[in-house]
Amino acid sequence: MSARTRPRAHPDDGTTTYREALREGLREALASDDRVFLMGEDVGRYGGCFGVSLGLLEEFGPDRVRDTPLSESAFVGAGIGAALAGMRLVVEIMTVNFRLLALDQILNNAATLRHMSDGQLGVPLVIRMTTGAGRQSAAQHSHSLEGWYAHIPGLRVLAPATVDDARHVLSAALADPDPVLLFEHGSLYSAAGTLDPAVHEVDLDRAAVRREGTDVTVVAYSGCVPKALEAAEELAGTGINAEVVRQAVQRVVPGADFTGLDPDASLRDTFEMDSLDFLAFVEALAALSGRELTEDDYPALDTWNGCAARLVAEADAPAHGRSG
Amino acid sequence: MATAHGGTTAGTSQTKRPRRARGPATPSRTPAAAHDRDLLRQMLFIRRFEERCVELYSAAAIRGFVHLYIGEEAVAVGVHQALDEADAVVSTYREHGHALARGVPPEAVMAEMCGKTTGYSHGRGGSMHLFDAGRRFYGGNAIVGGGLPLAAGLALADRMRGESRVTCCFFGDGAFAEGEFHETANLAALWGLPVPFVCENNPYAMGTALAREHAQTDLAMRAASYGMAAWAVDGMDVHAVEKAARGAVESTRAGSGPHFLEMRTYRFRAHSTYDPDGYRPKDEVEEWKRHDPVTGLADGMRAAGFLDTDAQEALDHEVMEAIDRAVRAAEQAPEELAEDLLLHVTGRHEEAAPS
Ligand SMILES: Cc1ncc(C[n+]2csc(CCOP(=O)(O)OP(=O)(O)O)c2C)c(N)n1
Ligand SMILES: [Mg+2]
Repeated sequence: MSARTRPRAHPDDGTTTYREALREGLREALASDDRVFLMGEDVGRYGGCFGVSLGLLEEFGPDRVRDTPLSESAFVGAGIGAALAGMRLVVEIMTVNFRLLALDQILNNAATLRHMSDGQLGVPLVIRMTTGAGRQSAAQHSHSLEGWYAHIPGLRVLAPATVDDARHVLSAALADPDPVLLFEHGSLYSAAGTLDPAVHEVDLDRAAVRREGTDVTVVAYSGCVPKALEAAEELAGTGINAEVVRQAVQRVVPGADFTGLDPDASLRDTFEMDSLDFLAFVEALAALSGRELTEDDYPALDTWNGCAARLVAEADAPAHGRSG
Repeated sequence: MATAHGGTTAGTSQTKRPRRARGPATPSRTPAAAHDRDLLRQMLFIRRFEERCVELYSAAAIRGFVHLYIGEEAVAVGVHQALDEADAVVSTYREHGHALARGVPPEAVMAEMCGKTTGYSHGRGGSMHLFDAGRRFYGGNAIVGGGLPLAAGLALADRMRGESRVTCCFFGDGAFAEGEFHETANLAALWGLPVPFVCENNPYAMGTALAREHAQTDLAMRAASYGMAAWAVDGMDVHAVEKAARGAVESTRAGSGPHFLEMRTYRFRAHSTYDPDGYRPKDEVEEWKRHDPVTGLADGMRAAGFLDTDAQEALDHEVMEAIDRAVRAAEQAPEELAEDLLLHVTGRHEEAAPS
């Protein structure tokens, strides 16, 4: 196997990049289950718009690493059809903005067929795409639409933040019986980290504490997690001990025992999270962006026991979005 | 394939039956006659079923949007002669006829339309969303053009697994204007996917006539430009439809990629039960009704000695009885409980496990 087909950027120091970790996840899925295939624009010969699938074509062939024409609606819809027929596939769309051309298929078919057919038709499909700003690509390549998709019942929205997330998120997503949208932050692809040998899976239903702390809690996802960790280090220099929590999913799955955050693992001294609908919570925070919140501000905050919180977000303009 | 409302499609067993040596064969006993009777039964069934739906809609037993197939019966019935049980069908919101021709039991179809739990989607789908996973009937899609990519994906899965099944995809002349048609036609032709595309050109998309929605109205010619065999068919003649469908499906199944059939047909009723039908001349409708596929077949059968008055009456009676049964069953069936609203928003993890 040539160096090109088995790229590993940091073989010596034990670190890997987010991109390589995603690729390892894909390689593992392709190697272990022959129902799995990858399909999208330039995923094969080109190696993926951001290089995630580089080398996989040579390893698994053009049937299973399948280049598509620029027809987002058709190949996402075809992914849905193939999933209905029992395949387990990963569809890559270059960026979240281009995915809007397939929104009809995602919303009206992937997210809806199971409910509308009373459970006859499930769509176990993983759709990956790049999200986020911060790379001087302007608005049409920079939106963060995770929150939009999180409003669609029937979808699961994930945003891996660390190399461990990136390495293991795919097998969890492929094991899900429903459509899973994977948002990969564009500014993370080259971020390096060390894979934790003790971590073998990602819990899609639970948030993870990425840094223990006692004074203040920062909840973040995707590209904001590394920034939050950096900020926590900076705060540590000033004597403030910050906890960083990586949010798990963007949507509360009906019937699932999921409150968005694990009350045992985190925030236990701060407030109860038992019955908190995390989406409602985020919406409330977004609506009140930048303000100090109290119980009076929003009914969902009743569960906050009066604790104050602040959503740190970019200005509400298209070219910024929520930048990382 | 057998259909649930009593008929079987052209059985090869019938063609193999030994011929009687003496005397002229009674025309009504020939395999051709049996096949025609079967076609007639299925088309008549759809016609009467749809007429009953109009009554039930007026009585508010069926609600929502209802799109009738009256006038287009020859397309669903003719095309289904060419399909096997293992094949898949993707349809539109005008799909009662497709579902019945596929063999979905009329009780289940009627119950679904009436919003009852004995429908295969528990009454959640209604008229526009009939699904029958067991019969590989994938709906029932209310987004014009929305089913086309699904058909390509179902066919892709078959291709990748080396199955010799086809996925038959029905859609209208209006859907032909959607980007999803053009993306899917290209994708299917590029990858050689086993999809017979069946375009039901009834030359209206709601109130917009074909020439007001397409710069070039020769749809088969345009489809051919994607690199697939494509031709137009008299969609009011069930024999012509069957012949074309057999050709297209066999060739598709044999691996020569997607085919496109432009079925020239007409809906005799309004677009939906919601439509006052004020956009087309009455004499145009009357002219098309002279090509009624059901009476056309029956007339031809009478002329050939395949059908007499007694047989026609017996058939009418049989069809009406079956529809009455379906309606009674639907009326008696319960509605889904409001508490079940959140069921099947998401699935259980076991469902994703390798089968
Ligand atoms: C994407 C989309 N646009 C518009 C509509 C509204 N609509 C429903 S049916 C229809 C006409 C479709 O015509 P055609 O494809 O020819 O099928 P037909 O109804 O004639 O069988 C329209 C415009 C829709 N359901 N979906
Ligand atoms: Mg039409």
